[in-house]
Amino acid sequence: MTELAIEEARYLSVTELTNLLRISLESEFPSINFEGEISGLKKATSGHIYFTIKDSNSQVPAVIWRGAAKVDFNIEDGLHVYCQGKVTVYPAQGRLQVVVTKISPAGEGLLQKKFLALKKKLEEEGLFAAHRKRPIPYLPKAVGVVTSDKGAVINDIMVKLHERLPSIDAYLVPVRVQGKGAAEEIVEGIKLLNRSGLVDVIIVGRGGGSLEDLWAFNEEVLVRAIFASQIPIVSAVGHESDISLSDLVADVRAPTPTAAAEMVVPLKKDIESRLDELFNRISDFVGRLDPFWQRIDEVELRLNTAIHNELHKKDLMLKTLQSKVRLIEPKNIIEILRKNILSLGERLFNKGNETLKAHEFTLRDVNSKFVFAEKRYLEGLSAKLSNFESRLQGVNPHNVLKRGFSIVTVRGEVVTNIDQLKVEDLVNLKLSTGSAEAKIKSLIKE
Amino acid sequence: MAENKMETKSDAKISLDDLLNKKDGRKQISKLKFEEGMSLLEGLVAKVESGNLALDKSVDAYELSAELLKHLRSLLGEAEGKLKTLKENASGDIVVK
Repeated sequence: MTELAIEEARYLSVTELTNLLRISLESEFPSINFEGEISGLKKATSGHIYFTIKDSNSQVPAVIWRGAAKVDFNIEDGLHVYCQGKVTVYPAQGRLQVVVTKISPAGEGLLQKKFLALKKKLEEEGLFAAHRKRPIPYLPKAVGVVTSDKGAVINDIMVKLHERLPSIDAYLVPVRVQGKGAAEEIVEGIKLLNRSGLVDVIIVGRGGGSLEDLWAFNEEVLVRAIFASQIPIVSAVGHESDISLSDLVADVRAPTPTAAAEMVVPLKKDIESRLDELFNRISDFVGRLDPFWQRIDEVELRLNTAIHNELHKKDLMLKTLQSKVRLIEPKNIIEILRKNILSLGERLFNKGNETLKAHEFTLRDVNSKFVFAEKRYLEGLSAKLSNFESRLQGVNPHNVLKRGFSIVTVRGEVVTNIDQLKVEDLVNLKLSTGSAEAKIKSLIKE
Repeated sequence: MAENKMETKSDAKISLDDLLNKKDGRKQISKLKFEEGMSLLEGLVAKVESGNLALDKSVDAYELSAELLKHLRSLLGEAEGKLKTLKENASGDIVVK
């Protein structure tokens, strides 16, 4: 095409020339990678960034159109950078320049390698496994935060926490979040909160920055401390596009600190309306039961009456049975037997009595007969006695005495034999009209 | 944005049945974590609404729900939450400011 133009002796305008160069370069070098040092850095108010990339021998102008490449590090003169971009011509000055689409500090290349290596290692160990992620509590008693006490992060977190749940307490362990020793401080913060027992969820994080700035959150010691924490951890490191190893190991990754605050506490009015709803539902239901209660009361009353009647019947039956049972109780059987025996005894006695009475009657009859006989007998005897008496009168000693006989007694005995007497015995002489004492002077046996 | 979901895990130390049927079940309420209490309350409402609960139990359930609500509201708290700083002093003690 160019040859053709010259042949026809047609002269290109400068604009055409620069356009040709531009098209040619852009198609030849649509994307090239190169490295060099930044110099002559200019950040235009439009947001575009102009600079030169050089090495010891050469230099090339470069531009980063506003938003065309992420610049998350402190870009400054003297910085060695890796760039990716296309080569073009700036027509206004006919100047070759590179439009940069990716740029990173050269140091970060090493960090990136380190990051990927550590990520691979920890991944293989299972530190990032989904199954070990713990749920964060729905309503924590308090929130632990490990971050810097300077800067916007803690403030953003507190504003969001209290916006959602005004009563929530938070415990901050202030730490450095970048630079040497930062990772170790964050590790201690996590351990301290674990030991304190004050919180049941922890936010670990910082605001945005370059890979270098965020590096603490990629250090193995911190990743392992997050893994070891007994308390669930929400990571909030940098911006959404920055993914650190802390984010990968954390139980939950929040894209920003504010988002982390939103995740760890519920919205108070959500809870309250949920509670109200539940209470209303149960109140409604229980309220609807009132007519049922009335019916239940009625049924209960009827049931009670029925039961009462039935019980009464059963009670009667029971009492009947009870009295029957009582009859066959050994004690009662004995009692009955005893009564029977008594009655038998009584009957026997009565019978005996009757017999006795009969006998008595006979006896009395006999007796009366006997008495009569006896009387007659006695009368007979009496007559005989009178006879005897009169006859006895005839032999009465007194009568004998009257005839001049006396009765001699010694020592109370009637003397009939001379042997009864001794000389000097005092003897009593009973005469018919009195008695006298006499002394025996001598004895003459015949 | 990942909002907190009102999902609650049913890992409460006491079950709904314990709460309804055991005499000292209600004493456990004050020890419940928010999720546990919420889960029990939701279970309770579902149970009452299912109509599978004996009528006398539904009155118990109502009283129980009132107690659960009271406890849950107390967990939400009324006082203004504060930010305190936690540090470890030289002798290893935890210092709250």
